Amino acid sequence: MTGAFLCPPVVFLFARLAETRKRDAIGPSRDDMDERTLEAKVRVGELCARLTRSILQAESLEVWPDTALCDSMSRDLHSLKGLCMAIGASQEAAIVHSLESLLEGTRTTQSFSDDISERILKDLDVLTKFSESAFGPEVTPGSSFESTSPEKTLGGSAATATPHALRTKETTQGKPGSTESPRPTHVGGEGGPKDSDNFLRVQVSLLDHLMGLVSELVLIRNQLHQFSASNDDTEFLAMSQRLDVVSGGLQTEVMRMRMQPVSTVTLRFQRLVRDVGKDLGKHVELHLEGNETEIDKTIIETIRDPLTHLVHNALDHGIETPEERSQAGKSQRARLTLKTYQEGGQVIVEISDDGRGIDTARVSKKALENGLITSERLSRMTSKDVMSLIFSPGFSTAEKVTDLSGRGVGMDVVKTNIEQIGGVVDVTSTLGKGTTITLRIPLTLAIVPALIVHCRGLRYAIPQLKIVELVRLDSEDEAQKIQCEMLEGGPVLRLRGRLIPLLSLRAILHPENDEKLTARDVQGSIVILRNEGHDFALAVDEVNDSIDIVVKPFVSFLKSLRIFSGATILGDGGLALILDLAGLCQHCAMETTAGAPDTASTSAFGETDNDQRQRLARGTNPEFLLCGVGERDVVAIPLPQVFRLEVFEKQDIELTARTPVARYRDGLLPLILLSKALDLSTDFQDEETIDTLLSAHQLDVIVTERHGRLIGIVVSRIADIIHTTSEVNELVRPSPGALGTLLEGTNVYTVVNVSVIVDTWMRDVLGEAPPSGSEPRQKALARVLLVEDSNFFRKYTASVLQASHFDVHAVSNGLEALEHLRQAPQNAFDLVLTDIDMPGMNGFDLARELRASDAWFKQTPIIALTSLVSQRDKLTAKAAGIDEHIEKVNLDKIPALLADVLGRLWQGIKGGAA
Amino acid sequence: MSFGKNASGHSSKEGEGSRAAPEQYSSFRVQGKRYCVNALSVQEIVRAMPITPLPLAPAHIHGLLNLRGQIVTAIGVRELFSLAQEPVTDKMNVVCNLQGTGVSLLVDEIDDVVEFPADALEAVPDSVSPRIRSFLGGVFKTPGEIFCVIDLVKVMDFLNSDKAQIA
Repeated sequence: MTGAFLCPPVVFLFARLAETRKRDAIGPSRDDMDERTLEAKVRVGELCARLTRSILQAESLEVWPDTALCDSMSRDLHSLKGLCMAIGASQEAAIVHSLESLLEGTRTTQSFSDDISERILKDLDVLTKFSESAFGPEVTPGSSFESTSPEKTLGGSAATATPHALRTKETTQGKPGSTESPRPTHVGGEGGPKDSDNFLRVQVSLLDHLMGLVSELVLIRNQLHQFSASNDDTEFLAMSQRLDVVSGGLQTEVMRMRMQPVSTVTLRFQRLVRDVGKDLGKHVELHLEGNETEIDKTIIETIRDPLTHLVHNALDHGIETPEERSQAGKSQRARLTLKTYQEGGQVIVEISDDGRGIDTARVSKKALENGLITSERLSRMTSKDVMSLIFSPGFSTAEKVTDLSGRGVGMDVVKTNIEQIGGVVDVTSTLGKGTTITLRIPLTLAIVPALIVHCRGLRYAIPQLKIVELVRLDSEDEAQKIQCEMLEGGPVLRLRGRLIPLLSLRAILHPENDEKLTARDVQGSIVILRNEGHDFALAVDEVNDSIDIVVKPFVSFLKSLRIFSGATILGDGGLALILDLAGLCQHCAMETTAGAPDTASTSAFGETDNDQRQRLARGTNPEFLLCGVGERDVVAIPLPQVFRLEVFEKQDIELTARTPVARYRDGLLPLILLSKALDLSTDFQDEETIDTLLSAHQLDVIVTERHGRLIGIVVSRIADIIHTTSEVNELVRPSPGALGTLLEGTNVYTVVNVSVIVDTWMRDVLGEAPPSGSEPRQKALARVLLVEDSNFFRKYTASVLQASHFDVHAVSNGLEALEHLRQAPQNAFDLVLTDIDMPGMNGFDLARELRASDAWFKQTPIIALTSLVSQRDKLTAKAAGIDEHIEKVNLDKIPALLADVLGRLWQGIKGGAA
Repeated sequence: MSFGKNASGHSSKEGEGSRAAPEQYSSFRVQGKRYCVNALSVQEIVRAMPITPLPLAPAHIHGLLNLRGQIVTAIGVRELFSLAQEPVTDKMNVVCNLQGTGVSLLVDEIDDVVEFPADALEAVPDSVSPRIRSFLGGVFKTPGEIFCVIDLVKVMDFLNSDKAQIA
């Protein structure tokens, strides 16, 4: 035992205390901690949990003291004190000691006041924290057991509250069968008087090992299966069958061992409900049903936060104040029920309250106000749909920020979290009566359904959740709707009118072979995948079965292989790597911007008009999309400018004040009428044209991306895609929105310049100026040249500014700044933001250089970012030509300060007409 | 594995250098040179096993092994040490467990388990290349040979570092 022993000198005791405190503060790892200490701490945690429950129970009693309860609490406190002493946690023991006195006091006063229970609960919290200081997330002390049998008396009168910690320790030490000598695993009943005798405490790592061994056993059994299939020996077959039964049973049982009762999470809510209820002045009773329902260990932690938030939410918004309830004729005590049960391979958790219910009218109003939905769409929603709006992101903008997950709280986060683990969230409610939120979650996370594919002889697993559909490309199906087309060297799949980028798994995984794909090569199996709303197609060699796999995540250093999220062991013992879609997309995006062939979606990004014109003029086998515009005309749109082809129904369209829009992908897509934009059909008017098109019930829209936004271009019909070797004749331009004309066979098509059309529209209809320069996609507030020698400040100032829509180029010293400016095009920057204190050329010198020059940057505003602000420095700065100062304060404030300064400067410039 | 033998030349004198308890090291050969690893970190030694290659992984990561349900990453010591790669097919796996992770070092041949007292560890001689030196914790000298001790912590640090990652 590590505690201090009989009658040590006081000095020694303090030294011991200091040592213990230090050790506990650092939180020793499980390895170097005494197993016994570890075990003791677990017990401390359990005792604290039980005491907490007792306190809550005591609070609800009318008459005090309830002898049985009081005695039980006394005994628990006594054991708790003994445990703390045993591991040398003298300060904690002292805390418990004072609690003992407190409790004893209540016997005499015959009242269990709120203050007392508050105090005890707070101290128990401290002790609980102490008990948890040894642990990683595996072992949850306390609440997994329901204590039914009273603890056996430790002996020694619990009532004698002796002031000397030592003496008490002696007393407890002398008792055999006391709780001081715990072992990591022990059977209840012997020595340690425990909760229920039917439980065993086992280290989680042992369980995991066991799982591994059993999985291995199952694999061998599978192999044996295959062997027995070709074997006629009846005895062998019989044995193999028996092995089957036994190993199957073993597997089931071991999997069940990983299950924990949901009470691990829910019991803590009792405390939460009590505390929050108190804060809000509401009386709430928490009822837990189905606490013994078991959930896989992997899921329990994942649902803790969402559940906590839902409980909070019910308390905050769902349940009324006692006055409101009285007025409504309800009992003052509100009821919050948490019900858990299993059904059909899922675990269902219902959180119901008998509060005010969801007011769909208010929800609708709020959703409209926050721009989450159009009134048209709203009118078509059922009341259930409307209620589901509470889960939309951005709905609860007025939501209180609690410290739950650090990030934004809100029902949308709950929904996202639950959906991430493959669950669903549902809400039902009756106004005035109450609300029920239902969570449906899969039984276990560790097992995921996946599709096994082959590539170059190796197997890969793709999570089923991400798969939209499977497609096969056969060369004879050219005539079908599914076609694969080449686009500037990068393949694109045309699927039912949509253009989906096509990736080849082979090319991605084995880039060294430098395989250029031709349409013929992509013949075979294609998996259409969805990653965060974007679809893309993946060509693989072969598609196998869909099976359930056990996900084994990668070790730390392999995590940088972003295209894989882990590996899994297949039935035959082989390994399959699990593909990570987000990583795959990132990987490919990098490849495309590095100069490899563009796909349809990326080529619409950030390509300047010049680039495009050049590319098309080169006549490198471009493709065009032929569309009907107006009654008669057909135009050609360069396929790289097409992001998607969509068809909208009449009900998806809204005519807003400025421009018609379509409901698209959780957002609104502004629509441009191509006929109007090209001025081709001048005898039609705006409304008439939209109506005419709408009367056909469907709208053919070409979605394009420009400056980071999606815009829809409305045509009368989408005709065809042509490949052509002709060059675009740029001399003949029927209208400003055209690039030129194209001669194809006997047809002449106007080639549309989508970028110009969109820019013109933005200017005319939206009143926005398109951003200048090819880089910034968002309208930048200003283009800044940042000069700062400190790596840290440079990096973070740049990112803070960029997040506030400044366009920033950063250099690390004055000379670099000068060079850069000299080489930059005219008016590349709106201002120079510079540090003063830099080696080599400091800020003052830089300013002087700039002002002395004759180039365009002679007049560019210079703002100093500095911590030097003495009067003398200010004068020096002014003399050097620096216009303004910003103090190096909290980085987050810099954008605002900069905007202020700029405002003043620009006003000055305009006013002065420099 | 043969039985541990006391190969420390220094502690042939009684009482000197043997105050520290002897530690066992698992030794092996890579390109003819002897290396060793603290036996406490070695989980097991296995013959060549089928490896599932990891596309796009750096050269020193040969792939993944399935060791009775445990997924172990196979690291080629030759590549780690930037040695010339001869097409040696039958490699031995020294499966080590560090920080909870299973890592298998692919080596040419396995040698005996040797014992050295902890204080017999000496600094790595200058003749060792900087690249290899970065993975060594020291050397033990015997009359016949020098055993370079591979420090697994340094290996893990390297694997986790930026330099080891792919673009």
